[in-house]
Amino acid sequence: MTLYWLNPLALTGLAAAALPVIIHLLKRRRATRVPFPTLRFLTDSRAAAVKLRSLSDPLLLALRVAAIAAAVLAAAQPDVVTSWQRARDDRRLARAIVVDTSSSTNALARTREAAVALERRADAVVELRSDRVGVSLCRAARALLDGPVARHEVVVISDFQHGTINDAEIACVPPDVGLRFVQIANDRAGSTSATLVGLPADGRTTDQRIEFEGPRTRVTFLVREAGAVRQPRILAPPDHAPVVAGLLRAAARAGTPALPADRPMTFIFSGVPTPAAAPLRVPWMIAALVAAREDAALVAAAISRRDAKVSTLSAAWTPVVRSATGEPLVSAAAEANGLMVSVSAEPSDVLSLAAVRAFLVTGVTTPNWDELEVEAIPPSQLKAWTRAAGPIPDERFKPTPPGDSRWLWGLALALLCAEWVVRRDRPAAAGTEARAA
Amino acid sequence: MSGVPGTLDPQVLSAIADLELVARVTVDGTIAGLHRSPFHGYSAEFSQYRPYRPGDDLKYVDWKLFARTDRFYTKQFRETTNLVAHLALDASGSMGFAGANGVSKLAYARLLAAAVANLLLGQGDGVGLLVYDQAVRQFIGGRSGRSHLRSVLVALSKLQASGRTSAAAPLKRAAEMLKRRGLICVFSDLYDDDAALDTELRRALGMGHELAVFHVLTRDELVLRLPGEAEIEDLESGATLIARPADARQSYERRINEFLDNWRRRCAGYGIDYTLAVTDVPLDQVLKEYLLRRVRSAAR
Repeated sequence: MTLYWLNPLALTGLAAAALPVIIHLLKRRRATRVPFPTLRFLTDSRAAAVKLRSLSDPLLLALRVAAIAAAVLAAAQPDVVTSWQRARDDRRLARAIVVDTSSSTNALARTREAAVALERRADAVVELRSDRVGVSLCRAARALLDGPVARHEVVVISDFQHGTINDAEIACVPPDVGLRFVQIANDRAGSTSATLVGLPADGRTTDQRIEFEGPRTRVTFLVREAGAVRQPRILAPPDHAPVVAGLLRAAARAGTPALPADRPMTFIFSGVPTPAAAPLRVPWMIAALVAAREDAALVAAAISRRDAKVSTLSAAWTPVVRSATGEPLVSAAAEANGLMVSVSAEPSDVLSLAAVRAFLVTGVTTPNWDELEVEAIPPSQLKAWTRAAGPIPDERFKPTPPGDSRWLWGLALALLCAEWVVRRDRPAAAGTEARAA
Repeated sequence: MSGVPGTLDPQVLSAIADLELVARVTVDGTIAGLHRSPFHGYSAEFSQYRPYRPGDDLKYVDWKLFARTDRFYTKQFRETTNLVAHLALDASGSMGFAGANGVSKLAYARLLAAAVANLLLGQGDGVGLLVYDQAVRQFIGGRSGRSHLRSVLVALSKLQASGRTSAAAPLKRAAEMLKRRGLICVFSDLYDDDAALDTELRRALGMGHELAVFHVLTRDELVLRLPGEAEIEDLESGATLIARPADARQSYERRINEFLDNWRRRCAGYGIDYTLAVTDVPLDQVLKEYLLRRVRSAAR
């Protein structure tokens, strides 16, 4: 049996239980002075005088102290968890089901069926749908803590492509939380591949091809003539042409992908007039803007600048990064059918390289390499990670307000009634006392 | 008892400033209740008839009237001997104690004495007043007449309780001041030196005086009702005693009852008319009890 206090601060009020004793002793130091016609019939009460320092009515005093103590304890809201309650809670199972919503699994009807079957067998269920199953493990374990007191179990329904979960993500789940893995068979082909077209530079482009074939992964780099591959439009002073070429070359070497045909992009540097612009409204442009704002290299290059000029751009331009003085260094806006990026620096500046790379990387949809994986996590590994839900740790037994305080309130009330009854039986003394006063 | 309808509540009477009115009301009510004056004696001056009661002396039965009415009537005569009574009132500190009804023993004794004085003076007897504590505080010689009654009542109305009690010397003086055989009415709580008081009472009896003792007490003295623990202060000596009445109650009540029994027995033994007057008992009831007893003793 364990005792919890929901409002332990109230226990300091127990000091108030000493009040009746203190009042009693203080009051007794000065006995009521009562005039009386004669003392000749009264017993010489030396013994009574000595008793002044003892308790004259211990029952009444005990009732008062007990009533105060009961009220204070009730205010502290105790909650007693008995072994019977613990056994009952231990029999309950709260389950968090993490459903893999990645493209390889989500479309499978078997996933939904497995989830429904698991929900039926649990007392409480939390369902998380995510395409990043490994990251969701911790969230699932935390979500269970908000539920009722029960044994906890996290069940993952996925096709468990290689890389879906790793040891670090498993370690994030508390050891008392059980783990189960329901593997949905995937009907994918034995091998997959994807090619990423690189950014053209000096008339050539470097394509990157990745092939997944069983446990083997092959990466091929293919250098070819750029041909019809789209390049970003660069608006810079004519004397900066060599620098612009170097800038694109550096971006290409950094693995920057080429622009898709439907996503034209224009970079405008200092020294050229700014074309007419419109606010960003197309989703891919807005997504590119948001991603560029979070690009660590671009933010680092901008934040230290103190020599930024005051911006003369129109209200249609949205700042992407600002200098230390708060001036926009990189801004974005829309043109007829593409995205315009204004860089308040020369092409040779490191800020320019960071801006070009950030927008090209974020503005291009790269293949989802994880979903192309054909190899699954071996069942032996899943079995090794599998574990049963452990007993409920002590710290997880959460007392629920108002706990068992109602019994103590009842006791306090009963004690007050008893005190009233006992006090009522002593009316003569009280009456005389009042009269004497 | 103080709440009984038709009785003279001491609490009400003590609140009335006009002592003469109170005395008259008390006496009138008492006499009306008796239907005949208990002080009617048997002398030459015919007063009235009253129905015969067993125990009446047959020589006072009017036989002629019996012959006419076929009923027995006893002749009553107005007493012609002028009685002189001294009202000895204890005004010591202990008499200032008031019971639960707020009427002090002194106030009650004052009303009682006023009623007796009114009664006696109303039938032509002489009344004197002696107020005492440990000595005679005030003395008014025994005379008759309405104007004298007023001076007695004025003296009674000005009384304040204070000092210790020592009734022996004052009683001795009261007995000596009565030139011939008379009545001495003592209104006191008798918290005194029992032996000395006993001696003086016997001396007064030996001088041929008639004695009546009105033992005035409050209910709170008969039944001890004090706080759980109290420092009890003697109203006369100022001495204090820390006592727990809850423990002392039994022995206290035993002792006070012994005290009352002693005085009852002593008075009965000496032929003294003893009346216990508790301050929550209506005045007319106490007076009636006293007068009826006096009538019965006179009839014997």
